[in-house]
Amino acid sequence: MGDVTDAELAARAAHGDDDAFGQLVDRYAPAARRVARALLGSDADADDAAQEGFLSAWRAIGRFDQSRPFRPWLMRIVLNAARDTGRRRGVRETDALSPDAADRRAGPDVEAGRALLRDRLREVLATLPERQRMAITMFDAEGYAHAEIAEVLGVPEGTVRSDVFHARRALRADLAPFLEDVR
Amino acid sequence: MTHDHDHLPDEQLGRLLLESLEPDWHRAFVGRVSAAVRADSAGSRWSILATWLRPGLVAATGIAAMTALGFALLQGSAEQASFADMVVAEGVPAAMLAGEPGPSNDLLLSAVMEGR
Repeated sequence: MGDVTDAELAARAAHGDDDAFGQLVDRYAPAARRVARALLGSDADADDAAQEGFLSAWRAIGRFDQSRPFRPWLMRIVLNAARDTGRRRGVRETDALSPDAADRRAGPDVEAGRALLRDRLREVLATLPERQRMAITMFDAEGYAHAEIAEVLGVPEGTVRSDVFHARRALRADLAPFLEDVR
Repeated sequence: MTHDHDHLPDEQLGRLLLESLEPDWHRAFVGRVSAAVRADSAGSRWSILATWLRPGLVAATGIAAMTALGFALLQGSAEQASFADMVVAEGVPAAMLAGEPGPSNDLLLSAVMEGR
């Protein structure tokens, strides 16, 4: 089943094959959920948004241009669903931590330190502008090219590069004390 | 973390992002979405049937009404025919049944005068 391309599965799904669409869900659910989490913060909201995104994609699969890549098309729909969810429920912004937060949180145990680092990363991510959150998650975590991200976000490629740059700078500055602890 | 190559993915930051955002219960989530997709498909089929249902009902009602009307007309003409047959059998002059005008006054008067 791993040999079946996205385009083939999408074509079958467009003819009403919900099993084929299920394979696409299986393939892209982790990325869709991560992107929704990066945008919304709340895991439950993110999963609701990702599900809504997949449902919207299922309803629109007949209009999908099979000559184009499936992944950016799907991610654009998931992103829109996440934005809608955020508007409906109110985006939960995380309060910025005090500068000595790292000192209070970091422990001697490296694993505990990594867990704190992951938590802190999500907190800082939530303070970034939405587009920067999407750009850095899709570029550094999901491995999208700048051009693909530009297509998903509907902005010029240069804007994506700038967003990635600023998001990285903010994350690096905030996470530096945590990184010292887990090195 | 990489600082000099911002055109390339930052592996450390990327790994941390993946770990931080990694969702759990993958199979449960896929099952939930697949169930929602199937429910949506079934809902769509019903909504398509529903869109066909209304004009279908109107058409069926129209056909039934036309059939009933036609049947009633046929039955009515059959009843008229049997009434005419009954009157003939009772000896009523054919001229009355034919609906033709009766003898003129002059004809009646000459018949009376001849009788005298």
